[in-house]
Amino acid sequence: MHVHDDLLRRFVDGALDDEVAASVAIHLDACSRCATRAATLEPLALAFAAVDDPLVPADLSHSIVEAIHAPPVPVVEPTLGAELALALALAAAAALLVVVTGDGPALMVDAAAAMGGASAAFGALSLDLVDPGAALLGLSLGAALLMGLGATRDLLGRVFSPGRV
Amino acid sequence: MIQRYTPSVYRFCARMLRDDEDARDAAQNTLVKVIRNLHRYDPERKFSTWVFGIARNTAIDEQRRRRFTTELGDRDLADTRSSPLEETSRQERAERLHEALGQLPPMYREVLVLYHFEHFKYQEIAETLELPLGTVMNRIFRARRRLRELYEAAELPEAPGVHGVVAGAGG
Repeated sequence: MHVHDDLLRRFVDGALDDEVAASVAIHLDACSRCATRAATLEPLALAFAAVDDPLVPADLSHSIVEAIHAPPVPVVEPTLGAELALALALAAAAALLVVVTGDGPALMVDAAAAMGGASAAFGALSLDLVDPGAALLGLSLGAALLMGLGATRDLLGRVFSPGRV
Repeated sequence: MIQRYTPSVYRFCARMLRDDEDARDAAQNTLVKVIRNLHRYDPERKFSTWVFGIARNTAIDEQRRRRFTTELGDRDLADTRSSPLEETSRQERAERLHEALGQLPPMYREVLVLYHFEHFKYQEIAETLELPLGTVMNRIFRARRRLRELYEAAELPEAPGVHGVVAGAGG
């Protein structure tokens, strides 16, 4: 049983829905006769046939064998300073967000600040750039920084809005 | 195994990346990964689709890592043994297709390269890309349609000596 000419033409033209096209494709994978007929219907068949293969470098296999036997290249870890800077930068970004957008009571600000610190450390960890020790330190510093900023913001809020409780 | 897969993996990478040095790096990295991860190979899967799945991912990584501006040029349009008239026509078709393929998005280029040049079956392409067959067919049809448009619109490079080469072009 072979694919009818009309169906094959519509297949090549991409005029069939995905399910029917998949059925025809399964048949073509198994039937060289229909696959050959389909290939001749492809408008760019001649162009595809005209393209020659890229020349494979003669020494490529040798290079591959050498690369396989070469010791693995050591991964350069970022320095502790860079790790801390990253954690602090993330913490500072979270702090800025809290200060600029926060509008709740002090407790919420502090909670948000702590969450900001945690997210900063988590972000640093998930970036896979720091080790857990450095991330913990970043978390502590970030949380402290954020809580300080939250408290400052709360104080400023009291000074500039005295009527507000 | 290296001898067997090096040519096809290199050809695939060269057609995807369109730069011989990048293709060389990608092919080498692919086969190193294959050898070092043989213990992860699932025998339920066809070995060649596993290898080309790695080649495809490696080529994508390579593409992200570098910007590609150079062309393979005439190196991959090897000598033919046709008559001069046929040769001109054949070469023009090849260049036009090469040009059109280069303008296709990678997700379209890869399915056409696997089907038309590496002679993968449709189901093998689906396995290589880890996609349902219907999705792959849809992608192939869209790719062919786009390729035909680009092929028709492709402008061939001017012959040197007629209009000369535009210095600094393509930057």
